[in-house]
Amino acid sequence: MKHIPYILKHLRRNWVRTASTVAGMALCIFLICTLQTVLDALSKTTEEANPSRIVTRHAVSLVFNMPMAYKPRIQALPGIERVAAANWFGGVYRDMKDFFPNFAVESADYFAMFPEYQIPEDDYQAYLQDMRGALIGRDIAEKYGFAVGDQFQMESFIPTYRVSGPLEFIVRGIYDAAPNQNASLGMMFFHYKYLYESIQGSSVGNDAGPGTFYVKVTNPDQAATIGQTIDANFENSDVQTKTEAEGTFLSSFIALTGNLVALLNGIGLAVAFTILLVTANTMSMAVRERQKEIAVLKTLGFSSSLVMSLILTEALALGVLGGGLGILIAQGLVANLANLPFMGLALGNFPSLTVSPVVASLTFIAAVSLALLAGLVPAIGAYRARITEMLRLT
Amino acid sequence: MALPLSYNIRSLYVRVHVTLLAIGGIALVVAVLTVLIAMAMGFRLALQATGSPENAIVTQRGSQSELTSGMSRENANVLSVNERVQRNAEGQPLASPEMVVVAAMVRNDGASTNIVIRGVTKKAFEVRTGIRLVEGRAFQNGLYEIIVGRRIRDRMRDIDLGRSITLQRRQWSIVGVFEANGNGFESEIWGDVDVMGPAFNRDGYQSLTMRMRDPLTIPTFNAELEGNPRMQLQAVQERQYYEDQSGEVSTQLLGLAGFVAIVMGIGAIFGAMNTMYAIVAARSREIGTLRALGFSQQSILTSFVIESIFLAIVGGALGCLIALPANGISSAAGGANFAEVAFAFQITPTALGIGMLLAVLMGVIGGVLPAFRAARVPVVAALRDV
Repeated sequence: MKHIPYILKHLRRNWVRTASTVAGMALCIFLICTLQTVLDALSKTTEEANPSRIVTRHAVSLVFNMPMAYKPRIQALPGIERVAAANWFGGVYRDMKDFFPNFAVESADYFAMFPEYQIPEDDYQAYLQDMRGALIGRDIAEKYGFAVGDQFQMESFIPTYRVSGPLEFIVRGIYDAAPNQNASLGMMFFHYKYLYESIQGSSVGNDAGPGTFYVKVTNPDQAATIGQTIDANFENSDVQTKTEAEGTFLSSFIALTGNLVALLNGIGLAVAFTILLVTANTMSMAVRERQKEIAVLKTLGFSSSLVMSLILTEALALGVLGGGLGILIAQGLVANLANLPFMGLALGNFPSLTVSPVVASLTFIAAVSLALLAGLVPAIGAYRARITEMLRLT
Repeated sequence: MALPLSYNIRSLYVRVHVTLLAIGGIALVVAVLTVLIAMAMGFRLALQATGSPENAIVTQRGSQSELTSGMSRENANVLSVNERVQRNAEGQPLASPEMVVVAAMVRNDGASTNIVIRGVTKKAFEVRTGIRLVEGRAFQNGLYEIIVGRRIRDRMRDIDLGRSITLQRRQWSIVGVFEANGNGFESEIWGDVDVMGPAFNRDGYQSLTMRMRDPLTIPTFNAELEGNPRMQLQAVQERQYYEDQSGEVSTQLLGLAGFVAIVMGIGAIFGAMNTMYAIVAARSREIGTLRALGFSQQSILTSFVIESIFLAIVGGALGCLIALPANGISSAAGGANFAEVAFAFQITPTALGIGMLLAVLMGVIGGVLPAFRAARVPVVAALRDV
């Protein structure tokens, strides 16, 4: 403890160098922190999954729909509490760049199995009563200024859903996440019946069956078995199904983005290495400058290990400063990241990014360990150095 | 009078360890930027190469991709005999009606992903010139046979010559593997459209690709189509069509590249600046001597900036070398058809050039402040310095 003033003095001695090292490190830590936050947001999509929910889709892919008659047949199987049809509508609000995910769902059944969405009871009842009603996530409502009672139009980019032109909607409620629950607040829901009736009678009317059935099972332990039973049940029908856990279903969308996760991790690794180089550079310069001083310390009776730990503590201080600053920058900027023109495209689905305490502490640990690692080589050099040789140097 | 360049090179060598660390930092930044650009370019080039400039592709008006497009057989037949469409030696029009669906399959890494399945006629191989069977044979009409793109065979589990896949309660035998110059078709599975249509309950087609007698007439052709409200179709040059589809993903990748390069670059500039400050401090006596010999402040300043640029160029070149093995790495990104498109990283001269440009920029910015300090070294004090 009594050595702290000594270390601080050293850091101040060449303050330009200290400041630029800390700044360089802070920027890199900011980058790592941001990348990790994005990765965290990606993995959260699957964490929202509930083990008691399974999803049934067409066996070939989501592009194909299933007959509506499958609902009662699924519901009749043992161990199943509820079934709700849900379709990706692909509706575009104003322009493709304002796109947010929107789904046509069998509302009463669907929201009964998603307790994580919190909707004021009166609004929810009004929504159920209104054929054109829409429920909108808090993030979307704030981003586009939607309020309860607002009317708007949406047209799907899927031709089947476009036959009767754009659909009219009225905002009937804005949903939040229930306390202590994970829920994406960037989506919109409306009545499946509305979509279905808008295309009934047209030439494509028969193609417009449910894209997915969300199935709630009574006992989560049986979810996998029940999934197999559902698929076996339709094995010999015209349309076969594929049923998977909600988490598996959601993670297949992340797999569709290709190797994004590996890419972001790769960048993170390169950034970490850059920190190591920049900090190692500073530390080795700092030690080289005071070889004589280290020799004097050792002559005065400071043990080699104390000298070594003084240097390591100096590196540690750089790590704490740079890491802390970087995380602060990330915390301040990450929410605005989606507003940047290019990042917005990539992050549009996560409008409310925040640096989670887990990510912050992991990044901080990374910063500190990188700094220690960078200080290690010069510190060991100082530990091993012989007094006479060092004093002899210029 | 200017200082000779060899002076700078030699002096960098004197503090080789510190110099190497700074070079390493710059090299990493350049490598990351170059690889990201190579990825964006690879995706773009793969999609660009998918379309031919001589072909026109007709899809449903307003559709964003073939998957969300649709057209009747009658319309396809009428358009095929249009006088703008080129004919082959037998006098048949070079028009390829195609059906596109998407099937979920399992990648080698265990993740589930979507693959484009394209139903074609024999005409497809005449209209698109780059398709080449590398293993096995072509599918036979009327049979449940398919050929798979080479990248599908490489990336997907259990997909290879001689095996079969089950879709819609049918066994589809894989009878051939094809290449298409690395373009988007190599991420697809092809079979007979007249077998696939009924099997997937699709009547009609998704798109019609035609070899034009004169590609310059495509806009006029499109205007004619738009003038026909009963058809609801649009025609675009095929190359343009696929290039447009690469837009969003490659913009995203370039955006990510720019963001990462700026942030990392500033970090590395600080590293380079530290090194240059240390170099200046260590040589203050030398600088004093140079000044006493009559070298102007101007030439000292230039000399140190050049030294910093030189350091950055070495770092940049090293970064390009680190990035080079990434050339040809196979990756995949989500394409327009709600399916993934595999492509190879392309370390193009442009990517390397942008990387080197960034390196030089880092050298200039990182070198200017220390060079100013060097130029301002007070001559007398510096000479008196130990």
